[in-house]
Amino acid sequence: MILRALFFRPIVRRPWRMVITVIGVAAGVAAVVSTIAASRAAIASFAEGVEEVAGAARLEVTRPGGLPEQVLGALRPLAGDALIVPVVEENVLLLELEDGVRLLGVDLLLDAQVRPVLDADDGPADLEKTLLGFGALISRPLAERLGVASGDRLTVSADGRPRSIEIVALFEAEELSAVWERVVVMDVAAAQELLGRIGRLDRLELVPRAGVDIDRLRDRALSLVPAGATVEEPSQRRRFAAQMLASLRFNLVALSAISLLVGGVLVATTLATSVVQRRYVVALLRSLGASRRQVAAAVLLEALVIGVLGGGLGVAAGFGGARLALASVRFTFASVVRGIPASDIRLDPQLALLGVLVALATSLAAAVLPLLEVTAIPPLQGLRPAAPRRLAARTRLVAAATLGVILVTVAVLMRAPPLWDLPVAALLAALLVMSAVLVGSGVLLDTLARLGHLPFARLRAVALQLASAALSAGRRRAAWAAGSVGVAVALAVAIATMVSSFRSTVESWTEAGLRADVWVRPLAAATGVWVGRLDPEIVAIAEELFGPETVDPFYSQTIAYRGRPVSFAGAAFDVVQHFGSVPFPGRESAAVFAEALERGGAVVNEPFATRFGIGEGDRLRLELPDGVLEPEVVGVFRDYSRSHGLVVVDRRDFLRFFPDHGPDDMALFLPPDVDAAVARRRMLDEVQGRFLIEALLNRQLKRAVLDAFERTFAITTAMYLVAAVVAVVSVAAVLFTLVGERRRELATVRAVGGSRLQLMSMVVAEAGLLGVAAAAAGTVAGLVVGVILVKVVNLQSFGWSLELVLPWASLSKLALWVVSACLIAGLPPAFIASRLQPATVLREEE
Amino acid sequence: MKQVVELERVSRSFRRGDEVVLALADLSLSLGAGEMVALVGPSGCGKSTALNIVAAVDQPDGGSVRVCGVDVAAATEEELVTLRRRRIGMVFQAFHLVPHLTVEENIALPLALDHHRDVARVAELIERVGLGHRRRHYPSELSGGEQQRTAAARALVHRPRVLVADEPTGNLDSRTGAGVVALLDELRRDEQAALLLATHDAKVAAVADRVLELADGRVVG
Amino acid sequence: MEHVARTLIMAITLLAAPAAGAGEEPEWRQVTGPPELSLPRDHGAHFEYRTEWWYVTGLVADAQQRRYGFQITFFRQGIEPGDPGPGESGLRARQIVAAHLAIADISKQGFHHAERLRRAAGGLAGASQADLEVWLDDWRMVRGDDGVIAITARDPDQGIGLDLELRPQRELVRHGDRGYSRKGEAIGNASAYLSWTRLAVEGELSLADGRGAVSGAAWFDHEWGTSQLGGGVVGWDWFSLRLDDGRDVMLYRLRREDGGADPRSSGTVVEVDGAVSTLARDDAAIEVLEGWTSPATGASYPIRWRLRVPAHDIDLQIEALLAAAELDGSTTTGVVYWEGPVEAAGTQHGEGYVEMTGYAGTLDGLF
Repeated sequence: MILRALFFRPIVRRPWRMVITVIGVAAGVAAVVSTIAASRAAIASFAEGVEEVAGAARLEVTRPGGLPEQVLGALRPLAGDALIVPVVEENVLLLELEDGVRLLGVDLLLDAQVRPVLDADDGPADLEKTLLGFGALISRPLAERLGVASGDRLTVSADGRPRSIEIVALFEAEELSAVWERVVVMDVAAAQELLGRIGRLDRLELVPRAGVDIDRLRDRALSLVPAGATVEEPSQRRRFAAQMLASLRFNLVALSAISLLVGGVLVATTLATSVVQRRYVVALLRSLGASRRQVAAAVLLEALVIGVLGGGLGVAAGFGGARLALASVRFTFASVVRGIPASDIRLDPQLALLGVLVALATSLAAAVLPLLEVTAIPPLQGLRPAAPRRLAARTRLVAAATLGVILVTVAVLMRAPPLWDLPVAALLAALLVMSAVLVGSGVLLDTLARLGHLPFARLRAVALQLASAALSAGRRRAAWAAGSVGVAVALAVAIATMVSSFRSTVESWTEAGLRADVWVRPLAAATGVWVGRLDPEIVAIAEELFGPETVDPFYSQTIAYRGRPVSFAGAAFDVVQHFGSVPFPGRESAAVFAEALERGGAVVNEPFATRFGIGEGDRLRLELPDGVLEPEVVGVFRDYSRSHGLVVVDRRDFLRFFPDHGPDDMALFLPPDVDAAVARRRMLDEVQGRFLIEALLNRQLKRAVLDAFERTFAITTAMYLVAAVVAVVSVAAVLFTLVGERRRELATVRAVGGSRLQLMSMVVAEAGLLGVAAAAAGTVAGLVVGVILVKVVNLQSFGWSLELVLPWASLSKLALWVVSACLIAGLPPAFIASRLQPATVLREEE
Repeated sequence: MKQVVELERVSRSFRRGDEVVLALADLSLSLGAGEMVALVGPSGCGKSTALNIVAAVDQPDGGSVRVCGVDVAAATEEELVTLRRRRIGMVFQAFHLVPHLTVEENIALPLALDHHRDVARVAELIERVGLGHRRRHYPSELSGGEQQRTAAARALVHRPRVLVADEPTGNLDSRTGAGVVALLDELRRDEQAALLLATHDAKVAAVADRVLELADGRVVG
Repeated sequence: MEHVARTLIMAITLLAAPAAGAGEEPEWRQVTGPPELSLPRDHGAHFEYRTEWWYVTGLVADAQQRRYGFQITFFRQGIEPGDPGPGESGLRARQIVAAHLAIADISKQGFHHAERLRRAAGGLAGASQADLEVWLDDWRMVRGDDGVIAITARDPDQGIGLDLELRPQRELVRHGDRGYSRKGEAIGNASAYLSWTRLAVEGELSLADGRGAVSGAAWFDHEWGTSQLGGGVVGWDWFSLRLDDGRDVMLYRLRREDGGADPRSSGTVVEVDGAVSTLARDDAAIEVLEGWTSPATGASYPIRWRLRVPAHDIDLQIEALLAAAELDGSTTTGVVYWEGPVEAAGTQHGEGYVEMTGYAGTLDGLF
């Protein structure tokens, strides 16, 4: 009976309120779920994929730059204890798929023992083609996607060299191993030839035989492998990859969690308004003998239902959204770690459950204040009509004090060092600022009401006047609405601030730093997956065409520095010295490179310097496969293209330690009299038919960098939209409630001479006031959060120092947008208000 | 004397569920300026319907209604709003003050809605209804009698030609009620407004110039 | 190990393929006459021929006089003749090495075997071209300067292993016509075939339940060729016996589809002084006295024979010391054969090994 009166009946009679709230929660949950799902999917192939592909291998022998294949023979003494599997691996462009795939070269004579997935069931593969030709095994799902079968040919390109391979067998990718759908398996020898990696292996996998002690095996292997090689479990490689992605992932999830906060505020708003709306019924029931517990149960139940429905809907929408977000996340992650990110979202029951639980937790947490309110409702006899109440001086003091404490805490947190390399404290500070919006919005509305509470005549805007009076009367609910809109606005402002700071920094960085006339890289997938390297021959061709003094190839290898992955790279310092302009704050690029050449020094990027506390003049100790290099750091340059450390030395030093497998990419600095477009054409013509390369002109390169940047922030922008939607929904919900609650009052105004238009204006004005309050509070908070993101979070998680650039234009646009969105959100309730029949409403019994 | 309210053979019916209820049948009635007419009768006899039609918040199904020369049945929404705003004042049994406006603001509301400002008039009425000390109070801070006096002042602030009061004493004790009725009576005389009042209190009806008794939507006495 | 299995099937299927066109494979050299031997080089590998194997079988006893039979074989199979060309990976599987290790625990009637398959590249497996030295993983067979052959092989998964030294007690025997062993009518249907028919064995054997020093005697075969078997041959039976009068006997019967012995079936009798006589098909008569059916493959193998070589006063009853000596490669290499220790009694006593192929499916075209 209590439930019927307090719960079901209101839902049946006013279903829109429930629907809107559920949508609001769903939007928040969807943001979180889609972010997590998309980043998980993107990481999956880097992280889980490592172990999946490693199969039964328990140990891996690796070395930066790869291993000579003679290591196979060197390890023969271990053969009694373990299967030794040579592996060659590289991302290649599968032209038919127009995307990257992982080319996995293994010993097909024995590999089925290591990777059960390769145990093809459809009869013996044509081994002659795999052992002596270029036969390949692909997964059945990939074959289906490409519409190919055994016997068909595919074209792959690595090192810019297109090669035809023949499908000799299909294997079943196990149900949950999406990783395998992006793998092309070939014999190790064929892969070596295809990848131009003859004589070299990327790693050896050791599969211990029965009863062999892993630690002993590792020790024995270590004593046999060449210097610089490590023997680790495959999961180590996953950890390496995960480390490189950790900050990126953390930030995505943290940002989306903030959007959930918006959803939570919305739930609180709805519950609070629904409580207010049912004051009379609750009071009546209380005087008829209902206990506080019973009325509380009804509110809890409503929170629960909102949580479950919103969670379910949010999870569904989240997985859908993840599909959309994946392209952007894939691209971002692929630019951080070399790998083939999965292209499909898998429905992860754990994540779905998490989504629902988060929704539940959010709505239950949001129910706390409404619960307090509902249990405070006295029996009917004690019920007084809701009177507008100004905040008492004491309350205002308390609010001010709370805000003060929050601000101080924020200031302290902003200075806190990162935890586990992650900007935990700073994000906490951001969260606190958001919560300050909630605390502050009540005070703000109070102030607004005071200002608006001037005699009508002076304003000549009775609607606005009435609106402000109504808002101050329903301040508590209105504050919730303003709060949730404010949080959404703050989120949007913060993101806009961050993105604009980023964009402007990156723009000036590309403008100053990218001086190459032509930039050459292997033909890459449109999805951003990094494919292979440039064949050394391409460098030779460029040097032949334009002279060695114009060609700056960039070689890189991942090495460990103090146990963490960093990139070690080689560049043509002499070329860069003359033509390049690398942004070293406060120093001339040419001078730095001259010094580096003279002293055999290195330059490092800012993330490296930040992460390891390294500065100019420090000496690095780099343990490389064939010895130790101890260059002095002669410069620290700004680098917004990667968030992990990069150490660059002259290419001659680099090639002393690593064989020339070709550079990642190559820059051409042409003499002034050479037309870059013509040179580019010459380069392309020269390699025509032999290599698939891309050659970008300077402006195209800059465009490409900025495009990559935009893609990186696509998901952030999507969250911006979610926040906006939540804000509008929130305003609409509150206004609907306010209108419903004030039917009689509105009818009275009509009866005493108010026109429809006046009523509509009044409701829309309320919406507008909410919007203004929210926009004001949100903009202030958003700027603070933006500063935190730009100055602290980015520095701590990516090692980038950005210039703070406030996007005034887009901020004012945003404020305008929010206010107008609120006004628009006010229209439906306004319309309802204007259609009220005073005669009918006024006759309704109290 | 010119009639400010003229109802001729007015009928009005409502749908309640599947049933059609005839609230008014062939009601004819007229009021002259400054005249006070009381409608009496049991609950559901059609008093409120008649008042709502006179107050131009409801329209008849048949017959003709002229209030201050405006044909209510034929008037546009805009004309009705103007009529209500300028010519009619309403007092309700449940007071219906706007809870988040002060006494002063509630009284000024009809003027404000008509984009007028008359501080003196508002002040005068506040004094007239004896609420000078309550100007800045909110309805929730007032007693029932005070609220209804505020409502009375609001009904008259714009100098309406017609004053409609629907059971103005229904929520008040008899002494307070009598005070409110006396006030209304006094005000309508001073302002020369026609007062149509619904009540089932004989003492209240006794103040009126004329008393019409309604039963089942018809005048029976 | 089912997975190994399938891979190996693939390998063997591949191995089988080119043989069908035997003779149209000009790149592989063929054995067309008595080899011009150059030792010790010819103990090593002959990569220019398609097939080659080094085969050791023997009987040993431990300190408790428990007897064991052992077999260790390295097969080399060429897939693509010649060396890798420019731009080709050295890891290309141009040659594949397979190795079989089997130990017959006669007192317990237990039979254990293991096998390996690797490409002869990158140091995974290979063979020397200077002297006998062949390896696969950590399995090895190598002839030292003193002529002693050292063999090491172990398989932790099966729990077996051996570490033996073999000392030739006789000169190297060249079977057939000075080592030219005809196996079919075509001129190339032949192999070069060399044996040390009697070697003293010292060393260690290990089984799942322990390891111990052993000693005894063994037989070593080294054979290479390209397209050895002629058509119509379904399998062979191979006997190697060390008689206690000091003579050693080798016989192989190439079985035809009709059940008869191919005319190219032959044998060798080695006298105590090392003198060699070649036996033609009709010089020896073999009569099967008893059979055994493998529960695993359903194949029926003879396990008791009567062997008569009248010209050499040999009339023996030969009996398998262990019936269940089938190497069931039906799920692995696809090759199923029987290879086990035997004992002989009659005009002489003796011991040795018998190998029987083609009882579970034909070998036609395989070698």
